[in-house]
Parts: sequence; C-alpha cells; structure tokens
Amino acid sequence: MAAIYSLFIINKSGGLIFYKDYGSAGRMDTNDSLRLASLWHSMHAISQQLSPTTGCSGIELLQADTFDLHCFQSLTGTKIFVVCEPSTLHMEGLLKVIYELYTDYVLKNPFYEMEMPIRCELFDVNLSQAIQKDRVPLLGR
Amino acid sequence: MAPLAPKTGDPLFANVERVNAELFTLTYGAIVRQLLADLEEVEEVNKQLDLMGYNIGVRLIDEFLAKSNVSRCVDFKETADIIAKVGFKMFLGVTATVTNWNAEGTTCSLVLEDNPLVDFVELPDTCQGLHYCNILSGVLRGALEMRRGGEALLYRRIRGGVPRTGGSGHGQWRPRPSLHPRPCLWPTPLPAVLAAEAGGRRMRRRTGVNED
Repeated sequence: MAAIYSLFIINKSGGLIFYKDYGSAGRMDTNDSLRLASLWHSMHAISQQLSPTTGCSGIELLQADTFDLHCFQSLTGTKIFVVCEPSTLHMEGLLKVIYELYTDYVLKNPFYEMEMPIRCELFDVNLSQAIQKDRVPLLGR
Repeated sequence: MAPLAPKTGDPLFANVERVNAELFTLTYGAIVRQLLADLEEVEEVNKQLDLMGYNIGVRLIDEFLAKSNVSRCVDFKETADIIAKVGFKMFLGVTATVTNWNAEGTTCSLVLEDNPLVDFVELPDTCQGLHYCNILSGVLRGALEMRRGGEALLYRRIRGGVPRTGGSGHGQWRPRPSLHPRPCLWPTPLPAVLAAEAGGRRMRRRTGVNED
C-alpha cells in the first residue's frame, strides 16, 4: 500500500514553513525538520548548478531504498516536497494540488504573513481532504 | 503531465469564481474615497494604493502560476503578452493590449480599454494627480518582483483628463542593484527597463460643461 510519510513546504529563502508528518516511523522533532528543510533547499540549489544540461530547475525526484522524495518548485521559489513509500504514483499531481491549496487558503488569508510558518486551519482541513481524496492511504499515527 | 499553457485567459476566467462587477467597482471606489479622506494628500494616496497593490501582487502571482500553468517566459515581450492576455483576463475579466514598444524592446505600454475599476468614475478637480488605478501598477510590481528577484519601481500615470489627448505617462522600471539583502539562490535581477501604463477610457475630468 503506497503511503505518504511526510510533507514539507519551504519558502524561497529555505526556511521551513509547513511540516506534516503522516508516518509513524522516522518522525522528527521541530529542530530536525528545520534542519532537514534547509539542507534540502541547499541541495536543490546546488543540483541546479551541477546539472550537465542547461535550464535545469533542480531535483524533482530522489529515489532511495526505503523512500521516494518528490519535490515541486514553483516559479516563485516556494518548494513543496513529499517523502513517500518507494514507487508511489501520482505524487506530482498531488504536489500541484497542494500548491493550489497553498495559493488559495494560505496566500489569500490576509493575516498570513508571507514567508512565515503556516498556521491556517482551512489549509490543514483542505489538505487532509486532498490527501485522502487522492486515495493515498495514510499510515496510522 | 504539464498541460499546454492557455494562450488566452478565457478558459481560466470561466473557471474561477467571480464576483458582481458593480460590487467590485463600488468597493474599490470606497477604498479610494476613504484613503482620500484619511490621508488628504493625493501623493500619499497614490503611494498607499501602490503599496496595497504590491501586497496583493506578491500573493497573487502564486495563484496565477498555479492556475494558469504558464512556464517561464523567455523574454520580456512574452512576459508582457502573458500579463496582458492571460493575467488581466483571469483576474479582471478584460484583456489589455501591449503597445508602444521602444526600440530595444525594454519598455511598453499596457492599455486597458475597458477597465472595471473605473466604471462610472469621474475625477473631480480637487483630485488632480490622483492615480486612480494605481493599485494595478502595485499589483504588477509585486507580482513581477517575486519572479525576477529584483526590485522594480513602477511608476505609471493614468490617462486621465481630456479623453484621447493629454498626457499619457510612462513609467520607469529599475532593477535593484546586485546586493540582495535576503540570501537566496534565486534568478538574476531583471536587466530590462519596463514602463507600463494603463488607461481607462471612461476616466473623465468633470469640466462643468455639459458633455454630450
């Protein structure tokens, strides 16, 4: 059964603004998640420089033995990436949906400060619905 | 699975939720009136409108990118086209025309023939110099700044006053120098100079003479 382990959203400076943990294994505390997000931001940027082809926009998929990491970067520099079970399908589509939810429920909230951690209830609610609707089952917490 | 970016904004406009046009126009008019009452100085109001537009623009750009699926624009001409055809259509329901290119292709004018913000609006004599639609230039400034990573000073004048004659202004778009206060590995600053102008055909100065 394919499942999502965790979801990260990083702002354009590399700071973590949203972290949701869906899996029971590999759960991280706040500091670790912040560190990991910054690390990923740097790696993503470096990969653009290292790429042998021109016009590379950074890492989109990282495949390891025990997990896959799908990353989506918007043209404004916001990165959304999800860590999931290997060979999970439809993650790109899910990332696009999450990006749309971000633009709707986070950016349109006038009390949300740009680049700050996301504390929007509507976003959480709709995110859960989107993840369940895509029929990507969640591992029990 | 990236679908082709729409060449026009019509399908996008059909899909987004819409609001009553009069309500929109009246709300904007109320905002401008209130700003005039609070700030009294026309220049201050212009600045506030631009600032408000800027704050809108930095948020709007992500929605535009998410919903319209446009890819990175190759050059400035394409950027102006996309803004005029897709951007304005998606959010205001009207398209702008891109005209008045200079020789190097670094400045242009975006002309809105049918601007919903200025429906029914007549500027009184006491408000000379008011850039009624300045919020739009702020929106453009905010949106484009997020993409290019450079700060832009977009100054634009509304084609007010006597219709079809009289000053149509131009603007200056200056890229921020290479020192970026926020450390981020992001694209190079915009090297071009952009001028944008939008005019509402219905902006008229009340002259006190019966205009028929």
